[in-house]
Amino acid sequence: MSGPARIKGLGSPEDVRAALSAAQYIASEDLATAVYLAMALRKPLLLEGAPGVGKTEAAKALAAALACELVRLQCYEGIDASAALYEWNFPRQMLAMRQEATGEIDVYDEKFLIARPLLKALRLEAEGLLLIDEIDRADPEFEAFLLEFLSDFQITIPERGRIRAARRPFVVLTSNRTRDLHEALRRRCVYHWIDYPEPGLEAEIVTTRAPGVARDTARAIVAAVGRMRAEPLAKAPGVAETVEWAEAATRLHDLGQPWPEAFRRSIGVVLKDQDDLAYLEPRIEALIG
Amino acid sequence: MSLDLPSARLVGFADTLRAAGFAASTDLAISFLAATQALGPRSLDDIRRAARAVFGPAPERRGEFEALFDAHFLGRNRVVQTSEDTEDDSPQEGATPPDGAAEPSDSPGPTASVDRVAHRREVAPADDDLALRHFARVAPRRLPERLTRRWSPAPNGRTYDRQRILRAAARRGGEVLDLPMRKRQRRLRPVLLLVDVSGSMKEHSDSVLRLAHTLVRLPTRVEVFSLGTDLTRLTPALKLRSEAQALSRVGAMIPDFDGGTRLGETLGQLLRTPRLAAFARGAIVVTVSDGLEIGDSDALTAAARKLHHLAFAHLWLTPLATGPGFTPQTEALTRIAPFIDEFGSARSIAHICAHLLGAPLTEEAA
Repeated sequence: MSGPARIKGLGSPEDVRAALSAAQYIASEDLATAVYLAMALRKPLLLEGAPGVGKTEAAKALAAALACELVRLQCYEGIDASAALYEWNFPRQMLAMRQEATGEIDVYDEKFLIARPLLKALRLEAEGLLLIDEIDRADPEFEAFLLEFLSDFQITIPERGRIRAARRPFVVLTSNRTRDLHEALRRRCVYHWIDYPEPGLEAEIVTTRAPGVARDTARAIVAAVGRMRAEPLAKAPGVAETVEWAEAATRLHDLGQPWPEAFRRSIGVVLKDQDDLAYLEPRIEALIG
Repeated sequence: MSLDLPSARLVGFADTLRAAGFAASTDLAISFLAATQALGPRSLDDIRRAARAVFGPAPERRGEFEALFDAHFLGRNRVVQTSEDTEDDSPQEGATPPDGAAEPSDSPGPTASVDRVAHRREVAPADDDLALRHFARVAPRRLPERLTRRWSPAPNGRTYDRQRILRAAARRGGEVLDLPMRKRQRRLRPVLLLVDVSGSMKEHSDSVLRLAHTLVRLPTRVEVFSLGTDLTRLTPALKLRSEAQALSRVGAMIPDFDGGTRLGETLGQLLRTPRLAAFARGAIVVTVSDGLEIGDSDALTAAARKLHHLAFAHLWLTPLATGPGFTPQTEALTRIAPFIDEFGSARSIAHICAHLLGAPLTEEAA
């Protein structure tokens, strides 16, 4: 096998990292390597991590970086093939049949077909990015169906025939790890576990996403959130909450409130569970620092 | 400039992983080779990242994975591995338990469990086996179920199956000839078994672990944890088919057998891990403990309250229960009584099974 391939102008993990940061997503080296490997080996990418850590954001940034269309399938418990793949527009079919009482109509024409995300991904003309979000919320039956889909990228609609993808999309799966995924699905993917970012990286993310926030404020906020994440909370704050807290506190400060007040008042942006708030209440001053 | 590593070395790493119990199949080994090729590789870091990406170790096994990588590529021996082929009834000295339990010292922990296993095998009465077999047969029908969000065709359902009606009608030119029905599928609720392994529970923990071995074979998700001074996840060890091997493996895994118990702290620790707390949601939680050594009583009450919100039912089975109308007398259990759905007796396997199945125990077995 020859040396590293150039895919869409990205010849190495460093190129991937640069492209992602041009799309406003600051990725770690490990994540950039995993993305590069997934593209080079033509395998799906499985991103696992705690909620709020930036998995869906990574996929969206990747679609922007690769300049391709993003098709998103949001999984939930009980999702089945008809919700993910396609469905016939039955009411429209019935109406058409009633109206066209004499002649012949093709009930299985394109205009009666509702294409759901997976079929849309198959029909993209250029190479796209298929994001299958929160796959751990779906049940094992759907995982089995997905496994079949990911191996062939072709489906058969009984009334229409076989539909095959012209260009296979790049697939990204995300999971919150509320349950273990099936071994067969994991084997098929390139895997990456996303941790909470390092304080320096998180401060950079805050200043990138919220340009109005001063660097010192960002660092103080990141330190406070780091201390909160070390506590036993029901809902640990994610990266988005950190950015929003920085923005909210800056706004309150601009309206004239001193810094400790501004942080305290906007605590509801970062801690969203009543038990957590009650638990941290006595030590909130020390945590904010 | 790329590193010159022979492919045999890379494939050998896959073999090492497989011997350590990671899922490292041949196609993953091939992908690993392709991945290292794609990256150059320019340094050992590249190979490490490729290994992490392709083999995908679970986060709690990450430390073990890194240790195996270092041992294989750098020759650093930090882990003593016992191969799975030499499995027999003796417990494995120096085996690294994969679930973050404390390092095994040369204390009589594993040896003691051999004695306990032998002791138990002499003494175990025949009706324990009967009770377990009966339970294994009857439980899939009798344990509580929950409705899922999946529908399946059912003649006795009460909802019209619109899709099938319209699909059939479309084939017949719009004529609706019959009305198939559908109903929601049912699934057994997950079971979470928490075993107190403190000194006061010494005589009972063996029989509870036998029951745990039968429980993990039910057609539903089951997780078993031991609560001592630490929290240990026992489910992987109990999935071994042979009961004796499973129990000896479990004995080696629990570092704090017959120690003290900090029920409140360990239960709180379980609920703080999002994945395990998500498992407890809608599950049947069974705690087998006498409630004598509990650690911090406030922590236990807080944990019991949280579990009450999460779980479908929380059963507390204690070997100190006197009869069917048992109410707890100790202060700690009285405090958590509002959050417990049912108190029961854990005096023998037959009693525990009866409580799980919700059936009253016949007098002669009581």
